[in-house]
Amino acid sequence: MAEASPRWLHAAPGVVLALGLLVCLLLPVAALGLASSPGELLAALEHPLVLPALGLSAWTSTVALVLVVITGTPLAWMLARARGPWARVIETAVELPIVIPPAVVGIALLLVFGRQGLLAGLGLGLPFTPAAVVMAQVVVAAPFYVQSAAAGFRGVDDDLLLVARTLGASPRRAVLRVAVPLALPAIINGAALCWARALGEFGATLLFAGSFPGRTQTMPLAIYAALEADLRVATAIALVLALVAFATLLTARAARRWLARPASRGTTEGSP
Amino acid sequence: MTTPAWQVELRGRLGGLVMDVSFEAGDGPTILVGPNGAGKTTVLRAIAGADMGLRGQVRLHGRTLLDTTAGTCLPPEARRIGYVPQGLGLFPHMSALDNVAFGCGRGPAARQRAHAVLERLDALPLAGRRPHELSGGERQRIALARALAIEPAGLLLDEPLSALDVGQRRRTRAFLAEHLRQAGRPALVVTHDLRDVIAIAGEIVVLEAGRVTGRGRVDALAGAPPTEFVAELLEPLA
Repeated sequence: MAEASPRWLHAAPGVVLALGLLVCLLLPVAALGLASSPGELLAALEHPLVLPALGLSAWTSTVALVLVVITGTPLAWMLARARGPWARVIETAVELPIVIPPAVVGIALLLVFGRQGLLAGLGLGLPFTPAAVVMAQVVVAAPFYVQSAAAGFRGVDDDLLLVARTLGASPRRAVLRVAVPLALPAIINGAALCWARALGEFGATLLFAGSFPGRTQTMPLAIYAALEADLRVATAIALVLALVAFATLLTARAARRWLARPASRGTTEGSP
Repeated sequence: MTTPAWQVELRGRLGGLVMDVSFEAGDGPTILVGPNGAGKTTVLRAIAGADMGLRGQVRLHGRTLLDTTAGTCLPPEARRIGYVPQGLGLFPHMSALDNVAFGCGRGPAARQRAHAVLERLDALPLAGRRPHELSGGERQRIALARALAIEPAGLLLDEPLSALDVGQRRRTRAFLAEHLRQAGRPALVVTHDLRDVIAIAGEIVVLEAGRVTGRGRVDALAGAPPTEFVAELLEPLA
């Protein structure tokens, strides 16, 4: 019986399930796009909550990304090269913030930097400041970067680095001139994911930095604040965020494709 | 008696392989043969300076590159060894000229030197091309040029012809053999192919399961093969 049934009948359940998920993914985005006319969008953007939140989100997420790239690149390199159980333990620890709910990260940050936290003695006064926004974004978003960059570094052939060293390169020069360029598609991918995650950060920011307009109220927090007063403003901010995220995705994809063209392939040439 | 060019003694365990390799070799090319997994690449990488966790000594013209009992281990960049790994190890994101210039220092002087090396190897027309735009034989030539550009005290070539098709292999083999003979530079060349062995015409060191099981010139080994592997490799000559 089963052999006799037509091919489309075999594929049908899978197609229906896949379509179901696609609708779930795309319908909210479409609704967002249709919710406001361009005129309404422009008007909503003039709401006093919007511009400060937009500016704050832009600079905090950018600073967070820069910090993550500066500190996360060497970490990713070390994780990619290290052997042994300790490296795996550290790698798992680095990935923890991906699976821990952001609100839990917010509480944990308060337990470290809060008034009665572990590092309270240092008198940093970090909570509820713009620096706290950046800190929350770094902790929540860094694992995405480190994971992707480490995967990129793992793909670099050991022999290329050894050859670079025999040609006189110091370990650092070998990494910068050979490993980093070859891992660049993965590094860019990680940076895009990291920035998007930082931009969308909500839970950890709310708990650790609060939601003070102009000071710690980022775009996602402004959406939440606006929702209580004016749905149109909330929708407009949401639409801006969605557009920025979409543009990030497209840019990262274009960059990856450009880097993955044959001229800069990241594999050893001529291997058998 | 003059000191040999290479003095190599490497011991240690690598996965399932127990290495206990000891050999000396003179100037000019020396050919390392052995079945897969015998440790040939490991020996080359350890001499080049990769941290393989092996103990022992490596000397080149009396200069100590590695001596674990004395705590000496020169980093790869201080060894002056030209290493061409099995996949050639060309940097895919750089032009042929930049590949060769990589070891020549920085600035315009480096490119000039790379230029001169490419010219010497008749590879100047390839200078602007990336590795993926080159044929197997051309890539081989660039990899050799790059290794030679640092004026190495010794050369390590790991199956330098394995990635080539038949025609390219024949031409490149002749070029390589000619170059190695002329340069007179100490070189360890790993190969599987009897035609390479004959063309390069150096002394042979046989490596099996992490040990040296035979050594000598090709005709002597063919006359009295020390192991089954050697007998099989040199069978066409016997």
